[in-house]
Amino acid sequence: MKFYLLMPIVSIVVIVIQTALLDLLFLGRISVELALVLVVYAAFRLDVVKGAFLALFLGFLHDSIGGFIAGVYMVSYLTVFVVSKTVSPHVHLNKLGFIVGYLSLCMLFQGCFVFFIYHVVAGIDLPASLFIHVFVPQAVVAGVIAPLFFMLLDRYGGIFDD
Amino acid sequence: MPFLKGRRKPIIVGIIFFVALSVLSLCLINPSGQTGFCKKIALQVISPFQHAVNYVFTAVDDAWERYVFLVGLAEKNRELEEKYLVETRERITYRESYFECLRLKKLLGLKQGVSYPTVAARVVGRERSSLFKTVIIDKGASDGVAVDLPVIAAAGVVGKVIDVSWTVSKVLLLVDYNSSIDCIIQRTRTQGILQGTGDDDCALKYVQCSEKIAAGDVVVTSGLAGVYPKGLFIGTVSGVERRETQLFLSVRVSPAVDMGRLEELLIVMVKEMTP
Repeated sequence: MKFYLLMPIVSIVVIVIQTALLDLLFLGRISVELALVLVVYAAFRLDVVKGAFLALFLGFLHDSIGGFIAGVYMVSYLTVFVVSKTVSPHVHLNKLGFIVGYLSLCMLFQGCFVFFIYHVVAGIDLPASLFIHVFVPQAVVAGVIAPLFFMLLDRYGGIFDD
Repeated sequence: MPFLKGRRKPIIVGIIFFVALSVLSLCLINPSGQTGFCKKIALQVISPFQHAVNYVFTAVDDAWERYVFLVGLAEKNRELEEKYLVETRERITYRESYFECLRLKKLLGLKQGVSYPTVAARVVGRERSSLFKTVIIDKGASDGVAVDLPVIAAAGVVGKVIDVSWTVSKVLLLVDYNSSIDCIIQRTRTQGILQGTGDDDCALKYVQCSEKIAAGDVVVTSGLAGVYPKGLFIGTVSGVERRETQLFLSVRVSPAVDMGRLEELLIVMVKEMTP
C-alpha cells in the first residue's frame, strides 16, 4: 500500500526533475531520461505488478507533459519494463559495465520504438538525423547517469523495497 | 477461480499493457481530439512544480545577465545606436508607403485587415531536448484557450496549442517535427509547407525548383490551413539548396523566435472572430 501511495509522488518528482530541472541545466540540448532509468531499476528490483504500474504512470506523465502522440511513452516504457523483467533473472545488476550498456541499449530501443510508431502507425518517416541528434546523446547520458542513480535508489529508495 | 491461480500477475500486466495500447490507438484515430480528463489533471498537477523550477532558474539567469555579464555593453550600445538611426530612416519611408497603401485600399474598397484579440501567457515549463518540442503555458480553458489556437511571441510565430487543461495548456513549437504551417515567401508570394526539423530550424517543403528564393527572404503565414491568420511573421530563409534530381527546392528557415528563450507569449483568439 505504501508503494502505491508514494509512487505518484515519486513519479511526479522524477518527471519534474527530468523535464524542468535537467532541461534547464543542459540548456535544452540533451534530454536526460531519468524516467526510463527508473523503469529499468523497477524491472530489476520490484515486483512485476508494482513495476508495471510505475512504468505506466511514468509514461502517462511524460506523455501528458511533453508528448505529441499520447501513449508513445506509456507503451515504450512498458515494453522496456517487460523486456527488462524477462532478462532480470538471468543477469546481475551489480556490474557497472552491464548497467551502462543495458541502459544505453534501452534508450536506443525507445528511440527505435518511437520511429516505429511514427512509421507504421502514424505513417510519418522521421529522418535518421533526428535519431542521431536526439536518441544517441540520450543513450550515452542515460548510460552514464544510471549507475549513480541505481546506487542512490539502492541506498535511499525505501519505497521500492518489496 | 482456478484458472487464474498463478496467472494473476501476468494478467494484470497484460491489462496495463492493453490500457497503454488503447490510449495510443485512440490518439492515433483521433489526433486532434480534446484533452482527456486524466491528462488535464496531470498537466494541472505538474505545471506548478515546473513553474517553480523555471522561476528560480530565470531569476538566477536574469541576475547574471543584468549585473555580472556586462562585458562589451558599451560596444553593443554604439552598434544599436547606429542601427537605430538606419531603421528610423527606413521607418519614415515605410510609414509613407503604409499611408499610401491605406488610401489605395480605400479607393479599391478592400476590407481592412482584421486584428485578433490575444491572451498573454507565461511559459511555466518546457520540453525542448527530446523528440517533442513543447512548452507549458499558464493559461487554459478558463481563459478561453482552446486546442489549435495559434501562439505568437513579440518576434513572430511560436506554434499552436495542442492540449488544454483548466488553467494551463501545452503548446507545440513550430520547430517540432509534427508541426506543419502553410506559409508564403513575402517577396515572391511562393507558397509552401513549413515543417519543423526537430532541431532549431524548419524546412520549407514543396517549393518548385523554378522559384527564385534567396537567403534572407521573409516567411509569413498564408492563412490557408485554418489555424494561423494570414501575415504572421515566421522567420527568414537561411539557406536554399537546388538539387538536379529533385523536383522541389530544399529550403531552410530560421524562426524569428528563439525557442530556447521563450518567456511571455500571446495566444491569438482566432476562434472568437470566426462566426
